[in-house]
Amino acid sequence: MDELDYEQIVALHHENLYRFAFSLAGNADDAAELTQETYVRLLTKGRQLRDRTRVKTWLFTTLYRIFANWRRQATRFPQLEIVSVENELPSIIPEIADELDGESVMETALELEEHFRAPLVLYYLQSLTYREIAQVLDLPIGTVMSRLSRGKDILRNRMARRRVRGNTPKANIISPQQFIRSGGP
Amino acid sequence: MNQDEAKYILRAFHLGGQNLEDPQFHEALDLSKRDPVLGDWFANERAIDTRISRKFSAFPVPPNLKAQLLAARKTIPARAWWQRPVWVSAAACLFLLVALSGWLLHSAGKVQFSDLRAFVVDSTAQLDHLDLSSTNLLEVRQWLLDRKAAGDFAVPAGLKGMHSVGCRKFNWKGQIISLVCFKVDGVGTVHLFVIDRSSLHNAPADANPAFQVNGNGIATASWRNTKFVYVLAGKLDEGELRRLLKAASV
Repeated sequence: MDELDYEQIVALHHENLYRFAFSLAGNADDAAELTQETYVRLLTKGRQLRDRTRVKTWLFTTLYRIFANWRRQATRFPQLEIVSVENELPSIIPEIADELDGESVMETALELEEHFRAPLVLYYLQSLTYREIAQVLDLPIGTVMSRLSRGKDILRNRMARRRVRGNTPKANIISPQQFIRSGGP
Repeated sequence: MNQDEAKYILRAFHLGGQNLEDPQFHEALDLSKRDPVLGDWFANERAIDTRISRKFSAFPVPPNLKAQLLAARKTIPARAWWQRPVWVSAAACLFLLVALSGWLLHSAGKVQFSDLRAFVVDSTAQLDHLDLSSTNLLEVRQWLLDRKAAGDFAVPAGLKGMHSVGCRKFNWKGQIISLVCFKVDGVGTVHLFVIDRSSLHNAPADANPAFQVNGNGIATASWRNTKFVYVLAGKLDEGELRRLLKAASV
């Protein structure tokens, strides 16, 4: 890690940062902008980071804070995320996951409430441990564990339903940036 | 620890095994080795999670994203913090001393902010060309930085995501001014003028935009941050300008 320079940091982390950004924003434009803004901050404010081994956590934390700032600016607008929690959760077998592609799984994740979605995506991207996820999302460790456990059930249930129904319409999520651009309601 | 408690803990176990040294997992992992039912459950969990993880990792990333991120490094002129040797800091201090002396001499050449705003209004009304046409804001920043103009400016949040139209560099009263134009749906083109804050007398007091509408229909919003003074202008009314900036954290 000592010899990491900017190009290496980009090469190592930009793909999973983008995927995490997409899971938050729900669209490619905002995900790319979130990722770009994160790296601009690394270049301009990276000196705040004294421990170079924490670059990865710093990047994910910064990206999430940028998104949270966007969302705060849109708090005057209604939340449009789908809110639904299943009570009865069917079991899922490993092969079901094989029948969906990456985009379908991401679309399924986008149907979840953000407080489940964010830790789940970080978990499945395998970039961070649960302790690091807690740090990125500024949550207690117990909360992260609880949301991972519950979120996994919901995600798998939705994946099973998607597989039974075939491809379902995309989640009706409008990101804060899209909402700002649209001029609100 | 019973089986349910172990399951709850093991659901957070890192798929790459990075939790192996974490004491939180020791007891649960031990139990999964001794309890066949729990062991089978854990193996099935990891099989499912590994497959889901592969799907997330297969989610496509724009092919040009990496190139754009690498280009950003050229846009931001300062060397990365980890590449700065200590002596550079010492040199920077010396430079600051010299710069301070230069600033004292240079301050006599400052211009009034009111004059700048008048220049912005006139330039917006009479703008006939741009030096660079580009929808790529990174390219715009680079073009300005290459010409010693302000390129590392902060785009107001309300303009983020908007396509840039292009940019122009002005030399005005001995000062360099950057102009970046943005296309805003439903509004038209708006013009962001950026000038080094140290070039001005009576610069805006803070980051809260101050609005002004001029006789020729040009509305302006002006603010500053620690480095630059910004004036956003366009042929629109003040309400539209306020709406455009209402979500902006400038």
